Amino acid sequence: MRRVDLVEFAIESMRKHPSRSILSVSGVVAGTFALSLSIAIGLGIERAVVERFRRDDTLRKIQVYDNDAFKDEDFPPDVLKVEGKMSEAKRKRILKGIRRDYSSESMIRRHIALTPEMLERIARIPRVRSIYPHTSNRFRASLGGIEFDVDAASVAPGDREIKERLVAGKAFDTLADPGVVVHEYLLYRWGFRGDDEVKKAIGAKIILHSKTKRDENHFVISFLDDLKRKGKPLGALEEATLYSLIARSPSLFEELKLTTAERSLLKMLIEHFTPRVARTLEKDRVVELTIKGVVMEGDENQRSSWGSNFQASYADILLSVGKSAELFLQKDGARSEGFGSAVAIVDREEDVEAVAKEIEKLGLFKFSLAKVIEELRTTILLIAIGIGLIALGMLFVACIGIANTMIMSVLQRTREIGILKAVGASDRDVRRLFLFEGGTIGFIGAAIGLSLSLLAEAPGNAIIRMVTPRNSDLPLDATYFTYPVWMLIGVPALVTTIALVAAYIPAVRASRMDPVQSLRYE
Amino acid sequence: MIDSSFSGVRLIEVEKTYGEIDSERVVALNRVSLSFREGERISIEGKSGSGKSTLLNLLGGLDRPTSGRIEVGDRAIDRLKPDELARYRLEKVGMIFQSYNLIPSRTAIQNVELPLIVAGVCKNDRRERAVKALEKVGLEKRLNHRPAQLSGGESQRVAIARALVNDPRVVLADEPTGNLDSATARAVVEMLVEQVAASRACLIVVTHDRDLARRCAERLIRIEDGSIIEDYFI
Ligand SMILES: Nc1ncnc2c1ncn2[C@@H]1O[C@H](COP(=O)(O)OP(=O)(O)OP(=O)(O)O)[C@@H](O)[C@H]1O
Ligand SMILES: [Mg+2]
Repeated sequence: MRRVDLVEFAIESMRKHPSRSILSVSGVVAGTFALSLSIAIGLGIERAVVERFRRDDTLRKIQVYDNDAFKDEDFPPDVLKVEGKMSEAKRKRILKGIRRDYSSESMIRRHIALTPEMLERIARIPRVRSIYPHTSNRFRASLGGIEFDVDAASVAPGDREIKERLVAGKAFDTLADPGVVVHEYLLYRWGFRGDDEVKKAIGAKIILHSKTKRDENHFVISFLDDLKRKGKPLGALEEATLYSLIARSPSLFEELKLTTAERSLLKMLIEHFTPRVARTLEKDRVVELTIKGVVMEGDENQRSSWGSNFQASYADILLSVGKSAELFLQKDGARSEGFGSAVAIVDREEDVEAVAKEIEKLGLFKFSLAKVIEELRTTILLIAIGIGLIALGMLFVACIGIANTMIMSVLQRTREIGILKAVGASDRDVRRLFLFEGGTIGFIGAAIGLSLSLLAEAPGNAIIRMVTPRNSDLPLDATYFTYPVWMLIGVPALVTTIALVAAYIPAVRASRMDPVQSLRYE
Repeated sequence: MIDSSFSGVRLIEVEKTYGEIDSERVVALNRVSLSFREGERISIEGKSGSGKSTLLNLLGGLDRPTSGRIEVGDRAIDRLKPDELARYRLEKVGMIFQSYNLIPSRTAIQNVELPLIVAGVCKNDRRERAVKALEKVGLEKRLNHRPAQLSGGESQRVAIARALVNDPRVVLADEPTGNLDSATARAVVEMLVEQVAASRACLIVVTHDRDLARRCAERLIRIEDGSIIEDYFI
């Protein structure tokens, strides 16, 4: 028998019992719908998530931190002694406490710092495209003679969050952009209040002093505040005297009748309680920068994007990473203390792991999203597989329905089978006849189920958008459904195959019927 | 499809028993030996349960003998594998039953097409052949009627058309007029004989009706309890 005829027979048989056919096809439709939808959503959400991170360099970024773990060699041997009988785990915990305790007293430095030299070493790791540090500084900023202490944070070019916050001007184009982006509130305090005035601020020059008001006055200010609280504020003259006293104190100590040891101890004591007084002696470095852009207050609920400086979301002024690092390194001791963090960008996502390992070998801490994303993807896929398994279960039930339909069909068509055999149909012909009927039910069900799942894309996206929070990072314009070609072909193929398996036993049963008996059957 | 080497049918010591256990054993055919020439027309009669249908089913390849040999042309059909037996039914045999055995959901022409569909004949060819076969039995106006819309005589004519559409060498009719009134029965049998004569096939008709038997056959065989008790030319 030719295939077209077998299909025609199958359709004719289904038409003969419309309600029975509709029921068994419906089961297949439901199963196929659930199966293809779970695949489409699983892949779709997975893709949306990956794409969300792929929009910028997120997945190619590695955050690098200095390693503040201590090295035992830096401690005197007798310090790192734990007494008493205890487990090894507890010994380690106690040692950790001892190290922390001792180091804060004796100024043992963090062991591996993110010095400029270290950044160069990382930059030399193969497949590292670039690396830049994130720094935060405090300055005294002045514009038109009005001075404020400001927090400054570094921003990399292309930072999405900054671009979104921009109200005037531009963000940074290059890593070492010499301009400055200021917070609208700082401009407000400087007198640029109306919207027009804010626009006029672009191109204005601000002066940054490395010495803040706070650096100069911290100890004195808290002393003055204290007196004010107590109701005995100092007068202007007294205040001036106090400043000159502090300025003169190193030389004053010389004049006191003290032994050298006493003098140095006293000096240490003063410095200990007023560490910033020592900074008073530092030179004030001044730099002039041009305002390039203005940003609004950052949204606290919005996570800053991966690899950006989280301090940028509330800083008064923003500097390019290069300029910020340059100013940071001018501070005393900054070169050896190193940066707090840096961002390395590798050539391709696949390189992240290898490069991260190299960075770890340098003794630094590193963190990349690649692994997190990988885990997220796996989770999404696992959920999709879970739903898919349920869908397969539904298909299984649907196939029991098909088997049931087929058994009924075989029984009802016993005489027809006898007739077919009498006119010359072989066992194989009869078997194929029923296999085609099962397969046709499966295929029609699969086609309808798949089409329904394709139609579900638009309403499905609408629902997902409705339940996704507004400030979510996930793209709201994209689709969350993916229908790969392998699925469009594979799902109907699989469903039809399952239907064929379900029809197999009834089909074999039909083919083995004795024609003489069948012809007698009423 | 005409087998040039066809030279009749031969049954040698054919036995057919039903039932596995001795107590239930029924000998439906008891060492029957017969031979029919090509184009011969035979009528078989016998009481109910004498083994007539059994004999026809064996000749038609619907069943196999318990022992003995059945040769159709140069083929020993008792030895054929199931597939080959199906092919034998398809190519060499046309069967007609008392109860017509038409598929109720199919129209007259679709019923006649059945053997051609099984043979894998393409749509246009088989339609043409089925129409021709129905024309020959005078049903050219009934092509698209379903069995329920046809009279008994018309239904049996459809069955005859179906049996002959493949140009068989052996035409087997098991009480083809059992459900028909005598006038219709005569017309149907005459039509059957006319058609078979044209194709020089072997015709074997089971019938109780002596008159009908004389009309359609040149040789008459009587069976009783599975054995041939009479065999003569009219
Ligand atoms: N499948 C079977 N199992 C057991 N016995 C059977 C079977 N088929 C037929 N028989 C028996 O074989 C014998 C011959 O049956 P068969 O059908 O050939 O008779 P028949 O001559 O055609 O009778 P009728 O004129 O009533 O149609 C009968 O006794 C019948 O009971
Ligand atoms: Mg009978």
